[in-house]
Amino acid sequence: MICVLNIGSGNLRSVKNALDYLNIKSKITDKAKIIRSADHLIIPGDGAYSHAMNYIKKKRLNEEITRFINLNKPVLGICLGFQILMQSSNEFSYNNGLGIFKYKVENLRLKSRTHIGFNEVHEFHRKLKLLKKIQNKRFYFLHTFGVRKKNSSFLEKNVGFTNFDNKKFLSIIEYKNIFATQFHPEKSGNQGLQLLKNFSNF
Amino acid sequence: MKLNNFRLIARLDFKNENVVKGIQLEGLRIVGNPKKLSEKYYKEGIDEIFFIDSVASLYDRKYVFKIIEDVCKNIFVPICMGGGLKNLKDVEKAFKSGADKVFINTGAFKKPDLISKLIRIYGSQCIVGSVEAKKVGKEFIAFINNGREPTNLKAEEWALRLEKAGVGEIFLTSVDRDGTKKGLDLELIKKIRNKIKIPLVVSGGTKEINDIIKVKKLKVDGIGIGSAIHYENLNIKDIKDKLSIL
Repeated sequence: MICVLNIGSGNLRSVKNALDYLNIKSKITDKAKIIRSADHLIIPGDGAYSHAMNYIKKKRLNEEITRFINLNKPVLGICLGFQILMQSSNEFSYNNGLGIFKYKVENLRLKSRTHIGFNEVHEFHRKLKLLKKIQNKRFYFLHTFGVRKKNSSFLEKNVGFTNFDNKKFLSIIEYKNIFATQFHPEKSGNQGLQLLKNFSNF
Repeated sequence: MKLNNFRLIARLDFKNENVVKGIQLEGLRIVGNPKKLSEKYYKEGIDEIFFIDSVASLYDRKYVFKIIEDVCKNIFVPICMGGGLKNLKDVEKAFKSGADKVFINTGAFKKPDLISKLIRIYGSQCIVGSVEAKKVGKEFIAFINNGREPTNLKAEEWALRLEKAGVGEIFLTSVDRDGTKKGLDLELIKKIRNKIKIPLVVSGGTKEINDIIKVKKLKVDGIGIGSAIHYENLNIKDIKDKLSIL
């Protein structure tokens, strides 16, 4: 069973709908008991950073996520879920994330403010497990903040980047049992469904 | 002409359980079932779907959330919904039923702090500002209540105000061109494009591929198509095939 973690805001149903469509069993929850009984964890995300982090701390979900990771079970963060796995974010105000990856989430300062729509993911150095069997690497993005490519070292990680408005940012990362995408696989048509299927097979 | 980030958006206006289409947002006629139509467009390769509850302010709207909930079970592209969302509770219901984004016009006009409250919960990328523009004399005026009631603002002023309030993008409807298939109002689109920096999605008047090419050149980020796909003047797959080889 895949646990879709309720982090208190945004669209939780869409990930579950995609998993249902793929006939993969899942539950939306923020209850420790159910989280612990899952084989995979998805941290979905839409919404504002501080709002989600406050919810996570209030419900002590940070402890559950860390526990899950330490048990070597696969975890996938999506969009805001990707961002809260990082060190920090300065959306509205400075907030610490879970710090699983030591990168800073910052305003990408795009001319259009927000990056919306389908865009290409470029694999960097190595092939990514999440992108296996996927030819068309265009996925749906909906975000204002992100992890800039410059100023960071991604050496030992498997990563992919996306370009928009002459800015390069991290769009996918894989490290041991931890996976994260800045884009929304559950909203990216067939290629996104394949990504979720790949994850469920880890 | 590469598609890049340009989005083809199906615009589904609905009333009660049906997708409807009128001309200039009036005289609504039933064109189909929301679930069937959206599945059809999804299979043809649509990038996004906008659901517009065209009579939300007049009738009971429980059915709307039910429709969204149903549609989202088989469709894996973003869903944006709006029409009569007036407060935090309405918006929460929209997200809970499966919408990825909501658009707001009347609610934001009547309560100027609604947008800033929403973006603190959902982030600006999920909140879309809607502008319904109608030409009155020489100016484009912003309308509310699904094109029924004029405001005291020019359309471009309202767009700018929404941008400043923090919305992630602007969804522009030309009320004059809606459902007419007379081509999009390029004068209006240019006016709004020059005023705001955030992504702009335009709608109202699409008939043929050439209309899409014309607006894409104006650096808009997406186009909402209703009548032309409902009545099968255009097909999403054809549009994508043709645009990608131009």
